[in-house]
Amino acid sequence: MEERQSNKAGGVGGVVLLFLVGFVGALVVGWWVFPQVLFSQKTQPIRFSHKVHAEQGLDCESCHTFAKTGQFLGLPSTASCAECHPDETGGTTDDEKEIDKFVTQYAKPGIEVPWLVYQYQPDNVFFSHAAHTGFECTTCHPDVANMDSPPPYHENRLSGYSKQTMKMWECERCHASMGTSNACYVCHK
Amino acid sequence: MSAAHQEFATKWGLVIDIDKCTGCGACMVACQTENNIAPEKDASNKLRTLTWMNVYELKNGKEFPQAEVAFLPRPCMQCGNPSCVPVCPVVATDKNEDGGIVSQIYPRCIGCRYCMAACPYHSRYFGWFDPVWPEGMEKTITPFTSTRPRGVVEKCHFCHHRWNQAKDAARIAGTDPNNLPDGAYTPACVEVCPTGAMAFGDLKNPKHKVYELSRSKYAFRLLERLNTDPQVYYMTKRDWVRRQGDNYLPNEKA
Amino acid sequence: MGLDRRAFIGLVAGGAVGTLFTPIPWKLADDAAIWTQNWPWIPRVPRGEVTFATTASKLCPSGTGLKVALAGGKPIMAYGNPEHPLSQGGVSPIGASEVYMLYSPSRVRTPMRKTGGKFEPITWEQAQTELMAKCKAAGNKVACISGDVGGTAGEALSAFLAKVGSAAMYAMPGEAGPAAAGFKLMGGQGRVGFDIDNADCVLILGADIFEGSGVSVRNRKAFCASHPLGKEQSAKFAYAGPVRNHTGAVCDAWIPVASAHLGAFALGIAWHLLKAGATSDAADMADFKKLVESGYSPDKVSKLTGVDPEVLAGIAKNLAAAKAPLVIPGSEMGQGMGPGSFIAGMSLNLLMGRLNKPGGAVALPELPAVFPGAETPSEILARDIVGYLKNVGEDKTAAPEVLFVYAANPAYGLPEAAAMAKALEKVPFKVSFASFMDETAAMCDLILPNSLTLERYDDVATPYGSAFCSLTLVKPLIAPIFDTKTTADFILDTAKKMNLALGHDSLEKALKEKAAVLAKSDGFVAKDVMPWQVMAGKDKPAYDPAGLWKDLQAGLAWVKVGQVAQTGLSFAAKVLAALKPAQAELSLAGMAPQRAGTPATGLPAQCLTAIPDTDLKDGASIVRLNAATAKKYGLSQGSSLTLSGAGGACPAKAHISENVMTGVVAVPMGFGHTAFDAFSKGKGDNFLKIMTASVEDGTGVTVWAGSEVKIA
Repeated sequence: MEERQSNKAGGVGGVVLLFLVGFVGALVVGWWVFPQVLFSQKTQPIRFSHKVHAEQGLDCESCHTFAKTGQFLGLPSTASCAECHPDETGGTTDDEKEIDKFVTQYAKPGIEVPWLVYQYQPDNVFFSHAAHTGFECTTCHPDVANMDSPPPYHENRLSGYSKQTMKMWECERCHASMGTSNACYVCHK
Repeated sequence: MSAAHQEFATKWGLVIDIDKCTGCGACMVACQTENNIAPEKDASNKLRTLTWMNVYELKNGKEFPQAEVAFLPRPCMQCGNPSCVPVCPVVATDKNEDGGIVSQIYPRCIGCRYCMAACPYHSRYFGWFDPVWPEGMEKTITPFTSTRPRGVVEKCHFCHHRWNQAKDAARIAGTDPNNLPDGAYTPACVEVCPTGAMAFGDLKNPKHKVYELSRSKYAFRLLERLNTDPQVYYMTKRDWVRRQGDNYLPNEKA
Repeated sequence: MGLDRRAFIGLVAGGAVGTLFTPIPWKLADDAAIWTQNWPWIPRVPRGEVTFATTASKLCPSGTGLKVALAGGKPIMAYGNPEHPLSQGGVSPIGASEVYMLYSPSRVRTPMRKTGGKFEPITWEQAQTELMAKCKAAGNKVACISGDVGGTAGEALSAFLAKVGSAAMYAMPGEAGPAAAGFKLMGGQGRVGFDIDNADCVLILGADIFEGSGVSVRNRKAFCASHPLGKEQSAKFAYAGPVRNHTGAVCDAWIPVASAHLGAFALGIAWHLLKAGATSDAADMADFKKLVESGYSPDKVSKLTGVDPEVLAGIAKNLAAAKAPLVIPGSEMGQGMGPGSFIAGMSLNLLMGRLNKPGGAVALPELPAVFPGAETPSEILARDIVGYLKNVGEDKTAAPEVLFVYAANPAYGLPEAAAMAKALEKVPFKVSFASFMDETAAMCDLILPNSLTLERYDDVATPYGSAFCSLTLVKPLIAPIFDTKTTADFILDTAKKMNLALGHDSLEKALKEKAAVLAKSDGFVAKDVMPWQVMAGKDKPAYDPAGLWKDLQAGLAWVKVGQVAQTGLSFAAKVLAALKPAQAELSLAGMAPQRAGTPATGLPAQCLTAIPDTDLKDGASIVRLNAATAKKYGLSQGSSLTLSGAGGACPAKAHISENVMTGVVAVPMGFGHTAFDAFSKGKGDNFLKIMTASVEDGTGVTVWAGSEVKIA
């Protein structure tokens, strides 16, 4: 006669419990740890306050302009920022120190600020801002006009793109709902 | 993806007057630099080069001194009924946009080259090498066309980016981007051609030069009887040149 | 509570199933796919605004105005400037190379001195000190070979030579040289140009006017205007030459004539014109008439050239019937023609009364010089550089102590390469101002790299063949990428330090001065009205002379429609009487398409794909001959052969082309470089080295077009 060894963990019930532990653990890793590992966080070279500028009565198009050719120029150049901020303020507030940082590090030596762009598209995408002027900027872009500090920039460690880069399915969904063509060359180059 | 004939409101077309082409190659060079084709050290192996626009030398087959020569620039025909599109297993190439330009999406292409086999015009090219520019020369890459890695197929797209640019200019100027005036959109090859042998425009718009030109009695298309319906027209007053546009029987009239 | 095997499996299974409900597998797969789209070794496209700037091409001899595209301020591509009269939006493959050639692997990146057979980088100061010492020691034994004598930079070099007391300024060969020498022999004043725009019947004698000859982009635009798409042409073109080349391909007729016989062919047409009553008030009209009637009767010309007498008569009839006929003499390869051939061709223009007429040949005034002492381009062009170097090589002329080589590559670009190299080796101190490491630079003792077109101030002044005077400003669009300097600035500075001040501190200042001088002359800025329209009778537009510098900076061209009235112009009948057309069993014809670059540029990298495999294949040059010639020499398509002449030999492969006349081997020019980079080296052979430089009877000038060759 032999003594039957019972499952110390409590039989079938124990297996289920550990299955659940594994399951929940995976969910935690997948939804919480994984995104933190996948994306590195970067901050903008200058803490640019869109809010302060918006409060001055500037709208998006004041700085993010179109060229006559229809090309969207995206970010303003250092020279255009320096039109309003040519010299150090010499102030002591955080905002003034940040302005001085811009003036000394970029405006005076004439270097372009290496802004991190949240929504740069891949090289093979032609996105026409001119075709989308009917939309509010915030339809696609974060509403930075209400932000005193630019939001952190999350870079995908694997693909190299920003977390906020719009995916092709999002473009296609909107085009489809608007009745706009989803032909390949509408967006690709 | 369809084998059926495609028709759009706008039909971008090229009319090339063979009688005016001197064969200088300015179009080929402009095409390469505009569309980021890397220079090749040994370009004499024509099976390995990427020539979206290629100039062929035609001969009338006669002996000296009756011999004649002509030059035929060959872009992608942007066929109304493209042979390349239905054979693509991954829908990397398609004819689905207004204007009728056959698209080619490089990241989607798996490099099977069915389209190259299907194209009767040899307009498609396979990238055998990674695009590598001599050190520093990569600074002359244009933003117009994305670079392609080796292993995918590429071809002429009528400088499609220039259409996008023209449409954007119209939008900002407040004019209709879908009804561009003649000359607002011109591919690089047409722009630089010193003898003005090429004209470009909407084949369906009577206000565009190509409308009349494509209907000229001197106009013809290559391999017309394959029913590929190309959007590229050629013109010549020379019968022997016209006869090379298709496979005619000796007694057949071109 | 321990963990046994079953529990562990349960945990792993839970984890695995749980993972499927997280983004991990899907996001990773997606991102991995995206990761493969951007390999780090494949360059990315630039961002930033695309803007356009203007300048003009210095590498391209046709002098086209350029429209340069810049992305984020960096040049990315060159197009033709639609507002420029010599371009009108058209551009040659060389003009289009101006942007990417900035980064050519063959660029000389810093001044270099040769020590012990090897180049070592030195500073500009060291180079200048050494150069000044050599120049001081040399006294007036300084010579210069220049590939650009028309512009203000050429003027500075010429003024420098004048200052040290030397007259040894030579231009690289082209068609401008024999034209200048020939016109001088005819007693003409000014520089010859051809108004193709207003001509309605053009007979081209050899000149590859739609490819390598003269203002070829302008010429092609003129052809474009007279051949509107879908409409009837308003001008007829006939091409006479040994090969139906790029120019011949679009002409209404091709008359096969060997290069050496083009002069006789022209005089054969003159015979018909004279018979039909053509005359001229030239002093030696009677001599000319007598010469043509006795020596160039239809059967004599036909016997020599092989042209059917009826064809000859037909051409003469066409010319006589035309309202604005024009004859353009030249050479199929853009060099090697003699002044005698040029005079023979020009005699037709004279007989038809086509000098200084709309649609005819025009004598243009020289542009005013801003460097005192500089010679006019015509004076320099009329000199025989090949004859000079041959004499140096054979010790008949003393070699200069110091030789400047500017925008030129004589070690590659002259006939009888071996003899020329021998002559160059006799010069104890050679200085190259090359931008690229060319064959001549490689032989030099000092290389002082010139900044490239897009990096410097310069100008393009009335290129050869143009029917109007013009000046286009070349201005820097990018700071020099390497440690290079504008040669003219360096020369001006060196002269100043040698107490030989030339009058200006910098080329930019000299150009401003030139603009100020030109503003006072009778020109205008070509914008809405083009100079050929003014020649045809349209009113000259008003313009603001004070704004000329600004207009030039905007890429517009200053132009002048003005002809030099001729007094005492003759047919140079004595020269023509001495002409003895050479008879060769087999002769060479050069094909010099622009896509093969120039001797000074090497093969432009992006042009290689445009070079057909019937010119170059697997590193071997391919020469063209027709079936009859091939049969005579036992050759067929693809067979290997060796061409020999002038003490040299070139291996090649045969390509049967019926567009080459019998008894002629057409050879592709621009290959066979031994310097430059991998884009130029080891590709075919340089057929100039087997071209025999012989002396033209009557003019004494060296010629090598259509030189005799043997097939081994």
